[in-house]
Amino acid sequence: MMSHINVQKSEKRSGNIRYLRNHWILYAMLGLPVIFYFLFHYLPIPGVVIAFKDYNLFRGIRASEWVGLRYFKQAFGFKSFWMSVRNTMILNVIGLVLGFPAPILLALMLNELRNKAFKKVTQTVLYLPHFISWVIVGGMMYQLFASSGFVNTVIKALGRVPVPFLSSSGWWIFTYFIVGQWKNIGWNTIIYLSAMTGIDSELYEAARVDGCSRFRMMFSITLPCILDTVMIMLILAVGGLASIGFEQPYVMQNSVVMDVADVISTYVYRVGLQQAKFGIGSAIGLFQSVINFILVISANSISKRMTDKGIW
Amino acid sequence: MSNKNEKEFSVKRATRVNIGYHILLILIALIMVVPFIWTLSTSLKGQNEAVFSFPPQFIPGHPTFGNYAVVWNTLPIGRFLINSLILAVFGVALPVVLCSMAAFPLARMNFRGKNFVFMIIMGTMMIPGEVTMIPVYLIINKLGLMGNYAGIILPAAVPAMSIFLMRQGLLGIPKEMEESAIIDGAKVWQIFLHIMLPMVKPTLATMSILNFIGAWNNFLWPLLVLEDPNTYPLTLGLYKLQGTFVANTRMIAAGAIIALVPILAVFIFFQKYFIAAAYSSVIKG
Repeated sequence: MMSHINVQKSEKRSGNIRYLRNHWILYAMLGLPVIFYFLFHYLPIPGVVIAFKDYNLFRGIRASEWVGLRYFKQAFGFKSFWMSVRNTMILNVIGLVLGFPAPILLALMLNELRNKAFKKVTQTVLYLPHFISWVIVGGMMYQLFASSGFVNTVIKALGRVPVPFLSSSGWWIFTYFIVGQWKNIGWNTIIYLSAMTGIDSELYEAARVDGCSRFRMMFSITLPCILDTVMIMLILAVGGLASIGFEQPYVMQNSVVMDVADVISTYVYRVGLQQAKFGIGSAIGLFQSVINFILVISANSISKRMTDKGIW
Repeated sequence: MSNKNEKEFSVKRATRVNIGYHILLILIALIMVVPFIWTLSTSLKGQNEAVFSFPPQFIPGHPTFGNYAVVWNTLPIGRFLINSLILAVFGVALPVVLCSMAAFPLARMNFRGKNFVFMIIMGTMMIPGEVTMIPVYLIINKLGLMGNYAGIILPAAVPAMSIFLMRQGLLGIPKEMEESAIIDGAKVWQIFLHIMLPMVKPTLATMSILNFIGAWNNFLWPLLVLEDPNTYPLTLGLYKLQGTFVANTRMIAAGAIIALVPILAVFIFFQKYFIAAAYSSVIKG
């Protein structure tokens, strides 16, 4: 079957030229994408060596001089760098502790819905914010949470003092969390919902025969069955604690709250690219990926020890 | 008797819990849409109508398109829209062509180095974006693509995720399909174009939607690469708009709605594929 497509054993021995002639089209099809990968995904990896070099745009990476750990020492010497590391961790830890269970609970509720039309409409509405650019979300958020914005108008009308959602450090963190949840909670339910559709319906049948309540089924069947998925997502979330997207912090930060709003990604952008300190920027990126790597390895091994489940 | 009572009781409790879910979910759904509705209503309110009032006025008393006119005249919004569209067309078309070309051999054929190539491609999904941001920036710079759309389009031209999705789609086609074509004397590229591609249309749609969203909402790379405001896409242009009209809620709302409409249209028209896209994009793990 498909003899000219499948590589036959005899063909392997009959010389590379004939092999290439028969299969050149495959390599041609793969060629262009592979060149892209080389250029934009693999070339940047050795490019990270500029963290150890006095990079000069005109001399290129190879001709630039080695400077050892100079940029690492410089970055570690900046107070603002440690501040961005701390802020990244604070925002991510809050996001993990409060934000991780939220989509699981939401998925459990959605899973209980029996009315298909209601379920579909709810899901569609929940997914919607995920598709909106952060720039637009940022603009809307600013109008909603500003000191004289929509939310504060309501608060004032209820006879309370307006809340500085965007201009006080503590409240800014709160707003950051809420807006992030608003945008992604619906989308994050998808993986749990898809895990739930995989559960054998006979389990529920058996439980029903035994007189199990719906609530009880949720805890004794649904949750244990999606535990694998939950663990994988948790490990990934812990592994990502040191990295933070660029767009949400960038569009939400303002000069008043920079002491809590400046995170690693925006710091790398500002120092590494805007001020063209490529070496320092790369050094920070490298430092960050080492932390990420350590976090994901430890999360995986802790999970393996505790629940016998891990990504690898 | 008591057994029956108990059952009735638990049925009642179950309905109560069920009603609770519905109310809670309706509340959450409302929180999701209120910002959009409020923004839309604000964008339609004239200067004389209060934006921040209590109770909030969601239906404007005298709806007007005046704010849209001001935004349209102050900023080259039309230009931004066209720019976004250009970026989106390439951001969708290039992955469709290149990723299906790459996925076909990876899914349907056996050849030397296949697994290695697949691993190389998938491996890139593991590297965080912040790490390669500066080196990619420098490569774009070196290729002379600064200020050029190619500098935004090319790095995202062959997303690993799309290759993965296409490969999955192609793997699902039964072998008999191409066997009969081979017997009829079809060439490899004919099999690819006329048999394989038509069978993975849903995957192509899913992939195109994911890439459209990515391209339409792309903010970081236009910010890094583009210099001339006339070349800005909508995201970047709107970001500047928010700087220009900091205090003018109505203008910002109008700008947000202009940028929202295309993505909402896509979302509503292709909803079926969106959900499929959502599921397939998470199953990769």
